[in-house]
Amino acid sequence: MLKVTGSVFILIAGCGFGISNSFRMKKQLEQLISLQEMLYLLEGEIKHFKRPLPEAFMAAAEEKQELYGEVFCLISKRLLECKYISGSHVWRDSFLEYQTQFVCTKEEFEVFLKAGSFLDANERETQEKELAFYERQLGHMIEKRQNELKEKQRIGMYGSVLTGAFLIILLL
Amino acid sequence: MQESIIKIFPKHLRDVLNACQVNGDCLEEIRLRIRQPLLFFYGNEEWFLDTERKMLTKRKEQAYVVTKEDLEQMFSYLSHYSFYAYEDEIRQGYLTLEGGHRVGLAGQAVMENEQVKSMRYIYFMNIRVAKEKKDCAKKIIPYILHQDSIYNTLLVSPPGVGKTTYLRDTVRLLSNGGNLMEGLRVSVIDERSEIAACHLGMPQNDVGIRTDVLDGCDKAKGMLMVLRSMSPQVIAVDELGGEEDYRAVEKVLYSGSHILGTIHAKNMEELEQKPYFGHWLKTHIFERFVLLKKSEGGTHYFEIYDKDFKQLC
Repeated sequence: MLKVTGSVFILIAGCGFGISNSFRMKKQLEQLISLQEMLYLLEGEIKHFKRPLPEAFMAAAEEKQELYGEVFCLISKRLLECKYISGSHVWRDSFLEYQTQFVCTKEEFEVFLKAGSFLDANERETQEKELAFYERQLGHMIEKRQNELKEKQRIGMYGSVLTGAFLIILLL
Repeated sequence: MQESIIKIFPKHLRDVLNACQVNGDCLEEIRLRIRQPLLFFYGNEEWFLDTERKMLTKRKEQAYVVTKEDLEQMFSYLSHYSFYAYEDEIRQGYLTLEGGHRVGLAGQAVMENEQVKSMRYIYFMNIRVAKEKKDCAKKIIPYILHQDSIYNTLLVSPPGVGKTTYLRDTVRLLSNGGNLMEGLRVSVIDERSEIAACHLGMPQNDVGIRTDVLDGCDKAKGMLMVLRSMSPQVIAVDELGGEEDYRAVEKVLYSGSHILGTIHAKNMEELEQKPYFGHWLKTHIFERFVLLKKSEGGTHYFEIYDKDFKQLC
């Protein structure tokens, strides 16, 4: 009876791990999509309304609450304080403050940090091109993840269940 | 010194400026030029900044010399890292700070099709500290009122005497109204953001409760726009000069609104010789001329003339 109970718990843990992994992968994808949306919002504020960056960030933050809204709010405040040498430094430091709340990979997070380089462009055309470049880069990352997601989720789930079963066999 | 001015300086200079405790009321201008001493026009005199002793000084050898990095950083702060958002103002050579302070810019013009497209290497800045002089135009008002509006009025003076300051105060007084009259609907065409000094769309100067501001717009086009949209009783415009301005003024006058404008001239004789002005003199379009003057001691005073150039005061 004890062995059966223990086996069930191991199986549940395995499934739980698989499900949690699956959610994490989904959240990673959602964060990538959200950042891309935020960059589109910013682009609109810059291109069409020609808003100064502090206002553009605040306007984009108001459209999208949660994590990116908070980051963009912080960027807006810091830009107004005029304490940083460049806009890209503001972007980088603000994202680093919220680093623990990002579930993306290290490489993806590096791309997030570098995306702020568009803030240092001295004229609008260059700024728009840089922004478009990072939007495309995010687009590629999103596409890759979307293609791999279902497969990885399935593998993750099976792997977790099989690991659980293997553990049961081992222990029994 | 106001926080909005100190904030645009690099950090190492902000600390010095805060320690200096410069009296904002006496400060007129701050001049920054690459590899030249930082200059303050303070109390009608020139002063240098001594960063070691954290004070203003007359001694040039102790003066802080402005670096390229200082100016680049200041430009980032001035434009909130958003060069693109201020392209039009930069093309015209100025930016307006919160508080209405104007920062004149000079550098290398980027030309395209014989027009100034932009500016780069902006290594010369002139920060003009804004000072509203409320009620300076109070004594002018009785002379320009006419029935339920005003006479078409020109404020005349050479540069640096205070035409814009007087214009601003006149707009405020007309807009708010008072014992002599009810407030009037005034539209200000603020081509160079000097009258209302809008910063992010908000006037930094008090221009009255019934005043609408069209900021950064060409004078001639602006006058026609507000005529169509804001039904002004008075249109205020600074520095009338070109042919287009004159044509637009005529359209305004035919519509029933009145003009309150300024024009550069040392005296009435020079005014008569201005191009396009002769026709107006003949047709008596302008009925009041306020000639602004400044004595050697720095006191401002004015003379008022009617349409026949007869002195009223």
